[in-house]
Amino acid sequence: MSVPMVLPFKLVMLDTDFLLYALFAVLIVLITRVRRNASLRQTWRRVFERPGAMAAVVILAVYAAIALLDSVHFRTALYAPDGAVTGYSPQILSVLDILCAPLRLHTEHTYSAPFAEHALVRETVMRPGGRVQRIFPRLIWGGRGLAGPFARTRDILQRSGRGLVEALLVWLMLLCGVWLVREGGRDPRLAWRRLWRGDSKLPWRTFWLTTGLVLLIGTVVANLAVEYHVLGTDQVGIDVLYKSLKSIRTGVVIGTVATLVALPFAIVLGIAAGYFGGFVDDAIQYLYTTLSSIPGVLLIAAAVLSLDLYLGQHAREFQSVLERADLRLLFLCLILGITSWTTLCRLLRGETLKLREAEFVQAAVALGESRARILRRHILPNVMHIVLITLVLDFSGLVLSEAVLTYVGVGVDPSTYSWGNMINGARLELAREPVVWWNLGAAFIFMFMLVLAANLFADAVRDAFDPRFHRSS
Amino acid sequence: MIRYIIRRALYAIPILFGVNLLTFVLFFVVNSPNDMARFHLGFKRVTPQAIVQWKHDHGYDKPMLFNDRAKGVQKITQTVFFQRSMKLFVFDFGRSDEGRDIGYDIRQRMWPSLAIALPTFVIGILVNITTALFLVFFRSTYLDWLGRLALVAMMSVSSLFYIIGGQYLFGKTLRLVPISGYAPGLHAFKFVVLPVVIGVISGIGASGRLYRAFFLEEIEKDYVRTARAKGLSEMSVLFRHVLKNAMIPILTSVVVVVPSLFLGSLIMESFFGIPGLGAYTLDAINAQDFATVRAMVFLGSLFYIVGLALTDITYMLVDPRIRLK
Amino acid sequence: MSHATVLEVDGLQTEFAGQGYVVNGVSFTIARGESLVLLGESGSGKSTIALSIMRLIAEPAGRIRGGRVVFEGTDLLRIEEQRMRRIRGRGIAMVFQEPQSALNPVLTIGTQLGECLPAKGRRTRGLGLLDAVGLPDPTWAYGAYPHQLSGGMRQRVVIAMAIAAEPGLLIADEPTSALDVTIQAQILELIKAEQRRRDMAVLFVTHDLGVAHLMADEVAVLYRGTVVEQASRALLFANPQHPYTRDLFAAIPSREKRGASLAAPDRVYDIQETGCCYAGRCREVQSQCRVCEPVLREGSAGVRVRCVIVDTPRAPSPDGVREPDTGGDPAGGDLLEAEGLCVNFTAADRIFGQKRQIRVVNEVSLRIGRGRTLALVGESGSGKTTLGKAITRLLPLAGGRLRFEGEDMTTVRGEDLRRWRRDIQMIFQDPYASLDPRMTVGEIVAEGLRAQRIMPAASRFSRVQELLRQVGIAGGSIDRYPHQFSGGQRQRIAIARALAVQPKLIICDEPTSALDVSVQAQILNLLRDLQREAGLSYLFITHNLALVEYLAHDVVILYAGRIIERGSVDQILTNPRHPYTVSLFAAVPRFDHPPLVNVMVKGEVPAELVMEGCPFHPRCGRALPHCRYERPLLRGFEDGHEAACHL
Repeated sequence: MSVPMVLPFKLVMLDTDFLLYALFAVLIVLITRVRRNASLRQTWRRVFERPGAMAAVVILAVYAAIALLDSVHFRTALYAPDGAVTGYSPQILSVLDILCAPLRLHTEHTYSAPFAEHALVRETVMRPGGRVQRIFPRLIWGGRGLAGPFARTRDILQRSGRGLVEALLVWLMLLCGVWLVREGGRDPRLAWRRLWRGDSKLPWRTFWLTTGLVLLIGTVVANLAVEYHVLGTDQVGIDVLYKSLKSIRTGVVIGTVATLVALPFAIVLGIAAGYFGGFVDDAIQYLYTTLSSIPGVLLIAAAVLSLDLYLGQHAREFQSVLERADLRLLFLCLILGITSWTTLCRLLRGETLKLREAEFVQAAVALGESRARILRRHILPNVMHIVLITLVLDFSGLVLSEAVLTYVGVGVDPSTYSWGNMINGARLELAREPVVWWNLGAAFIFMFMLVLAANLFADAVRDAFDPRFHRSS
Repeated sequence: MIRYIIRRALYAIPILFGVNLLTFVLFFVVNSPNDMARFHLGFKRVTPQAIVQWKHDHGYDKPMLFNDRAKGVQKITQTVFFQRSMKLFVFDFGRSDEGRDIGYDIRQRMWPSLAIALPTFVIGILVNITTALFLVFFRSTYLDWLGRLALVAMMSVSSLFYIIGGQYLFGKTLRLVPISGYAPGLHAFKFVVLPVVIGVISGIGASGRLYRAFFLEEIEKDYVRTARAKGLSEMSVLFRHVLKNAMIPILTSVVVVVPSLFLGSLIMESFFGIPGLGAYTLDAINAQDFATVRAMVFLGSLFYIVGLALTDITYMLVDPRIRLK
Repeated sequence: MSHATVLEVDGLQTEFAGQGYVVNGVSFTIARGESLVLLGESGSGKSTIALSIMRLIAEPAGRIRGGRVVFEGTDLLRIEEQRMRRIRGRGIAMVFQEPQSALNPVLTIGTQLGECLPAKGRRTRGLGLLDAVGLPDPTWAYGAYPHQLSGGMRQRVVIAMAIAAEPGLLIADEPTSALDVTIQAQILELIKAEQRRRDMAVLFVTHDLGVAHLMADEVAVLYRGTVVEQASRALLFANPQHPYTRDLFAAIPSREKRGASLAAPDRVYDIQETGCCYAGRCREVQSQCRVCEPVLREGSAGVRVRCVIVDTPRAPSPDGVREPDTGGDPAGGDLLEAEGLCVNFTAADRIFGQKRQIRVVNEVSLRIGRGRTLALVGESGSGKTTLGKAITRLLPLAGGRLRFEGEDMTTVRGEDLRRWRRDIQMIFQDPYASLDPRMTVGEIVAEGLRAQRIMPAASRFSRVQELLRQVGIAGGSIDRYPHQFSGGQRQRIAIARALAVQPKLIICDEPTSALDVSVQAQILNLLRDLQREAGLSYLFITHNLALVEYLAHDVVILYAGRIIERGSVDQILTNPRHPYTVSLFAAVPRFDHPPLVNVMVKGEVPAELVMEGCPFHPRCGRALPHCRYERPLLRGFEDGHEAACHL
């Protein structure tokens, strides 16, 4: 009998993981379709012609990559002494957890400031000889390898320098790679001058600058994070940088999945209401007027309240805390989708009403086209720009609302890493002496970067796709 | 006009009914009255008699939506839905699951809420319009470019940071105003100032940009060119001609803000310790008090519908092309 | 420079980002009391010149790059904005094209007019001005909002605003292009009267040769941002010199050209980097034209022409070959018969309002013969487009019968209706709205083939190629999108789409009203050829009488949803019976022959339908007492010539 091949891990797919993969797959399909369609390609070019949008896309791509890495979940195998796999660890980890293992594992006892070697608060320690002393204890991990009390600045500079060199190397390699592939390595001086002067239709200079900056931050922080808590630690000693990175997935899931789950309803109902009119229109209008008249936060509150009761009653059906938290996240996305659904539905209805009377639709009717085909070939493609604009415009709003809802107590599970939970926890920290600002600061910066990038990107998309914004051309 | 208001009121009834039904179903899909009783009585050692008693006391001992055993109209009226949810239509809010009189609470708490929401709303609109007009006046200059950048940055910051930052700066560091709390009457001023200022500032980013877009859209219209051809100055073109026209889309966008006024005050009130409706709702959410949440959902929807009608009426005042029937 | 010169434009250059120089070195002068017409097709830069003089070019997209604009001794391009503002309105006033949008919708007429007047005695003077421009009830209009006024009334208000401060120069930028001909005649007369009374200089911008002839003392013809020819009205219309001007005249359809193809350029837009701007389209192009740009040369009798071959005697512009009129045979039988058609329009209130039915087409009966063209003539609001759509069953009929090839089509539904749609196709007015922007040209043309299951998918490609070739679109365009084509090309694609299903009748809903005359000529030639080759019938909806003269066999005149006159084209043109028809013809400005009679219709189509009597009686100059309450029925005069009039 042959020994069965046993993987050292077992993949776990959470509901939101699945949705994120699906989203990613859809994105790839869409990109390939856009590349083949001349007119769409041109519109998208207009998006990328804006330097701000180009930079935003780089930032968004980094966030998306981190979110995806954090969405490949698995359990590691547990081994018997003889090396055989006996089972799988109850702890679910993601690829990001493995990549950030030092961050994840280097936990302290309590608060410590960024780059600190000592804890923030005094502790009472027993000295040899029975002397009781209150001191700032040395951290377990932070600055552990430092030789002496004054070595820190030098060490930080050294590590940053190493990060800088690494970033530069990677950046140049990427640059040369692209240059070799796209231009076959011709005219290096000209290519460089063109890049330097920003002499291209698409703002490639901005692209490379942003990429370089992201690389630089990445490598420097990676070099430092092995030795220090770059953003300090929180009340229970968890590295704040780790928390911030883990929160990215939550933000991205809420920002995308929420609109995505509602999209089919909004599209089908909005178009149906606009095209068929009459009773269908009345019913759908009633539905969305009713839904939109409930203040969003209260609808969400009522729904999450119900879910909490449900989860309380069925607590035993979940294998892990993570899975339960994930269900709550998914449910939050659903209910957020329902609240944002109505706006899109209304917009689509209005646009369909207009399109129904459009001459090209009348011409299709006159040619004897079937209704189904008119809906699919004429109406749907001509409202998709509204869907796209709504999708990108809603993203930042949803990321922001996660924080607010979590603060209110109807957001993500308290055990989920999220910026909302970080802010929520950090609220009283500003009242401490000395002030603990890094938790809040980290949440602020991570969230701000994502939302700002999303807003800049959304602006460019709207300007390119909304016919009202380029009437003259 | 009166006919219009009556029609609007009649139209609101099915919507509010739908709202009630929705919250009701949403809640009872996952919960039975038994669960509720157990929750409120504490999970340990609850006797079946206690549950029955609690259900009877709180009116949850009838069938949910349809009473088979009753006769005639009572088939509908003798239900939990009718008894508990439909009474909201006559503003009979009943008692909360903890036994408090919701109607009384609402009357007590609406004034602090209004003291914050109303100034925030009005000052907010004025400030946003001013900002937008300023940017439009300096359009296609570096000032406009910088201003736009600042607005995007401002709208990319979560409102929580504005509150926390504002409290830290004005309350803790500068000690200009108390960090939180409330006092009735004129003393309320010093407690209200900070939430209002923060509320206004956190709204500038998104609304200022939106209004700027409205103004720019108007400024490209033909009548503006006619006004310029008459020899009017840029100022009178902006204030006499563009502003009044741009008010129409601005009003539309304001209705969208009405429900989030509710959301905004929810957080404001809880952060600043103001005993208003927002904080009340928040407490109810945290205590899983369904009766109160349901009453607040009803009230919120009502505000929204009234806001919608008010906007239409304001529309008519601004836009002579619209005559309400 | 004589004292009488009011405006001197010298070497004006205006650039738009992405379009280059839209105005490239234009010079002209206008003297007091004189009117200069800038004549040109779209893209000629004529409106940009007007806006440049006012310094109203939208910056930063557009920018004046050079030249001088001297108004009463001051160079307007060199003074600061503050001073320029005082000149706008007081020195130079302007009337715009779209009366619908030129007035601020939320301010009263009085407020807007008052902005042009000193505070003292504002109201009295305002009322006086409104009266002067011919508003029937100045007191009411003073307090009214723009939407309460009709288009013609609004244009009168704009003119009142323009003349309020007694300007030395009035710029009128296509002031009547958006108006019906009867209203156009009134407005043009008003401008001329005001000019005479105030001894104003007028700069009049238009694309319409007839209007130019009516308004001009001097005409400057523009092509792609330069003046190609400038002459006094008499000389220009008698003997156009520049090849472009000559082509323009040749492209105008008229009764004389009936049966012959119109002179139309093969290519409309040919970007020429060097040399003469017209070299790409010119019939008489010489090798030097492609190399160096000709200068505007003074010819005989003050005619200035930008052409190397000026003053050389030439053969007249080639008129097309005249073919026998095919549709002249009324014995072909009727293809479509409509009897007593009624169409209702449902108007709903903006906010949950009640719906009410308005009858837009009332008891209309008409016949379209095989291979013939029926022109449906009417002004805006007459219900002509609605009638066209109702005949194709795109709109529901509220009454009447529809017969096609003898079969009743009033109530066919489902599969039968779908199959019948093959026989009757429609070409729409706006070629920008009638093609789906998200489909390729190939998909658009193939749509009918697929929907009617005419041929297997495999052979569709070659059929689409063939159709495109037939309408004069290069076969390589099959994978391109509509926005990559010009208006005329799009209209050809729309025609190809209709032709794909081999219809017997095509409803042409003003297919050329959005196009320039030279492009219009191409489309008309195409439609004419198709009729001759395939024996197509057309229902040609139009308000342009020149088109009717040129291509119609039979004519139906529609007023307020009713037919008021019908007959063969000769009967209607030579002997119009209905006073409305008569005044309609009189209102069209012509340069080729003077109007038959000089009558001008008073007033405008009332907003509310006239429920009793003759629908035209409130505007009719010859109305009798009983026209007011007794509705005239169609009655016959000669063979097939009918009119609904008591006279």
